[in-house]
Amino acid sequence: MSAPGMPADIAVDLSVDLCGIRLRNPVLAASGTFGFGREMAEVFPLSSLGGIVSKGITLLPRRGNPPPRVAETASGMLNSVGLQNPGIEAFLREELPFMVAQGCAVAVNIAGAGAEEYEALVERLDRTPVDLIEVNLSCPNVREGCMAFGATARGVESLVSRIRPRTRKPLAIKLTPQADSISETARAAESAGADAVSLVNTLLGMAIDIETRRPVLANNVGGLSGPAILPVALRMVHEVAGTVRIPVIGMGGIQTGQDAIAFLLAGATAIQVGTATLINPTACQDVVNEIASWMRAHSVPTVRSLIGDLRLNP
Amino acid sequence: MNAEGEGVSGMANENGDRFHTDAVPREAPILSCRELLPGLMLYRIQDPFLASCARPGQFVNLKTPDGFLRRPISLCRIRPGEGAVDIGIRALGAGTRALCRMGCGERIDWIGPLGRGFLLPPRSNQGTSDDADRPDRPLLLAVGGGIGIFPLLGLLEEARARGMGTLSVLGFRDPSQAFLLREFREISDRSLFASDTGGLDHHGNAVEAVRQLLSDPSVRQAVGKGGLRMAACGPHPMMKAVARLAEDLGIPCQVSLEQRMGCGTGVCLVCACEVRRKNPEGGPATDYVRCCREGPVFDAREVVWE
Ligand SMILES: Cc1cc2nc3c(=O)[nH]c(=O)nc-3n(C[C@H](O)[C@H](O)[C@H](O)COP(=O)(O)OP(=O)(O)OC[C@H]3O[C@@H](n4cnc5c(N)ncnc54)[C@H](O)[C@@H]3O)c2cc1C
Ligand SMILES: Cc1cc2nc3c(=O)[nH]c(=O)nc-3n(C[C@H](O)[C@H](O)[C@H](O)COP(=O)(O)O)c2cc1C
Ligand code: FES
Repeated sequence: MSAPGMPADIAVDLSVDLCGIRLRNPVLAASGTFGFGREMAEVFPLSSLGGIVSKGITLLPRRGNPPPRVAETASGMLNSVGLQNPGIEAFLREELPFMVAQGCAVAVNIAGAGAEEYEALVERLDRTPVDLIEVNLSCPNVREGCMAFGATARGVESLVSRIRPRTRKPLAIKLTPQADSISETARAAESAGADAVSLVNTLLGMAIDIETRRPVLANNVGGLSGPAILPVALRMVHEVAGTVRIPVIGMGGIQTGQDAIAFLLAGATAIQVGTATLINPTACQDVVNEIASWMRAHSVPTVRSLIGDLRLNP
Repeated sequence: MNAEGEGVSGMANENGDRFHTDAVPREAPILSCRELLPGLMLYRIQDPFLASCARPGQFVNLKTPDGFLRRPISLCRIRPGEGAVDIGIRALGAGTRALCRMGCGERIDWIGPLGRGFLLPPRSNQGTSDDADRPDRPLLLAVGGGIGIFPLLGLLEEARARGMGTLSVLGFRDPSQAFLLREFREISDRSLFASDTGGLDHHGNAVEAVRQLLSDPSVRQAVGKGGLRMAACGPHPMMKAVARLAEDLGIPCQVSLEQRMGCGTGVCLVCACEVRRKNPEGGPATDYVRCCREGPVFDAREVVWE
């Protein structure tokens, strides 16, 4: 190999510290695109990832929205799953033991219709082996709660200050890109005691079948994800990382190691791969490997040195 | 790889059938293609791994030349000896139109086999397919319409290989829309092709043709100790009517459902199909399950028909 950089066999250090949790590498599988890890554990060892995030969990089981729940869009997709999940008790009994046995960090994504539901969920998770609770204040697919809190700084502040005293687990607040100002909602999360912020969730969108003159999704509207939203997500991660001191978990359209490195440079401490897994089941693992080879090719020994190392034009 | 297939459907356990799934993307070359009708292609694709472990009713999820998400396509014939499988594709929207323009030698990026296929009784150990008159020989009646006939061809082949008697009923809008008739005739002990506009064996729809076939004395006689089971794949109204008929006649019936998909591997939950299931938490008696994982083949009795 005559290319500049480090020899391929030199170990690069991909580990990061995410609010006290040591991650093998900064790559997490995003909520709702990885189930509870079972299907993908058949494809590659999940211990090769920094961590996995569960599908959004509510107090009681949820059926979710009627189908069709998916529409393809230019460089992306709309989904209207509507938080279909087995409820916290079945999750803790049937799914969490499997997740924690995989040898990577485990985050549980939670969603509620009101503050009481979020309180009950974090309390229930407090004495479980979960590493991180990701609090979804940004699901566009359910009528009640959720995004209603995430849209304004006041909503985020009031919700986070109610759940904060109820658990010692690290709390990552998952923000919507549809807030009035995402740096203000991020700041509100921080001042109410959040340990990290996750961004972005999907953007509310629509697709119309012009032959039937009806929306493609039975729910009429759904959340847009995939590379279509990457530039928006990247700008928001950059903005939020410049505003808060707590770590930022960045996501939105990441498909490659290069995409992930852009998020790290923008200030993300960890990143999540979502929709890419639906097209390429090994996407998360590929992103880890691509980050490592890019680091070798550029003689970057530690991934930590990339975080926030963006050089803005004057 | 995975072993599923037990305990969900009412017919699942009788022979411990398992469905292997695999979601690692592979590239597979097109060995041959045949235009069945304008906008309807049959491809033979080389993939020894898939051919060695896939079962009728399972599907692949394949990339289209410019689409974003993969597209689910049922396996038509599975040829372990040749290390190849056949798939049939109808050009419907942009993705399948682009797929139908692909030619020999081009490579398809796909994952599979995926999902749960059709369940068949165990291979008979008392005889071979020559024992056409054996009274305890179980019979399979495959009922298909439109592109739904593709997976049934592989199913009938498997059924015959297991020593079952094979019956098929196919329905088409018009004789000019019919395809693969020779193949179905060859693989079926009895076949009946229906067309809404006449010109084939039966003037009318597939469900009427099923009634006609089942009222035939020689068919009734053939339904011996081994029993009759049905499998249906086609337009939703056809499957619904076949399911109702099967229920009325007390014949076990499996249907292959279609739902818009994302991953095809079970992680995204967009492919919900409503079925009757026992819910351990109490709650409603029906549930959304994943077409790509718990399906696409379901016991007709558990499907909630719209
Ligand atoms: C388990 C399964 C097996 C299938 N097997 C076959 C097969 O063997 N041969 C074959 O030709 N097709 C099969 N299909 C249907 C095929 O997947 C769709 O026709 C294809 O996804 C449409 O993609 P497109 O880009 O051409 O159309 P799009 O541009 O996405 O949509 C065009 C039209 O197709 C409809 N459509 C889109 N996605 C689906 C879908 N997943 N299922 C049904 N309709 C859809 C839309 O409502 C729209 O009217 C199968 C589908 C499933 C779920
Ligand atoms: C099918 C699907 C289901 C999702 N479910 C959830 C969920 O339950 N909770 C959540 O916080 N985010 C959910 N998301 C959002 C993703 O976790 C992620 O924030 C978003 O898709 C942007 O990242 P991506 O472009 O890499 O997918 C879902 C996304 C998709 C595509
Ligand atoms: S298509 Fe993703 S779960 Fe079925």
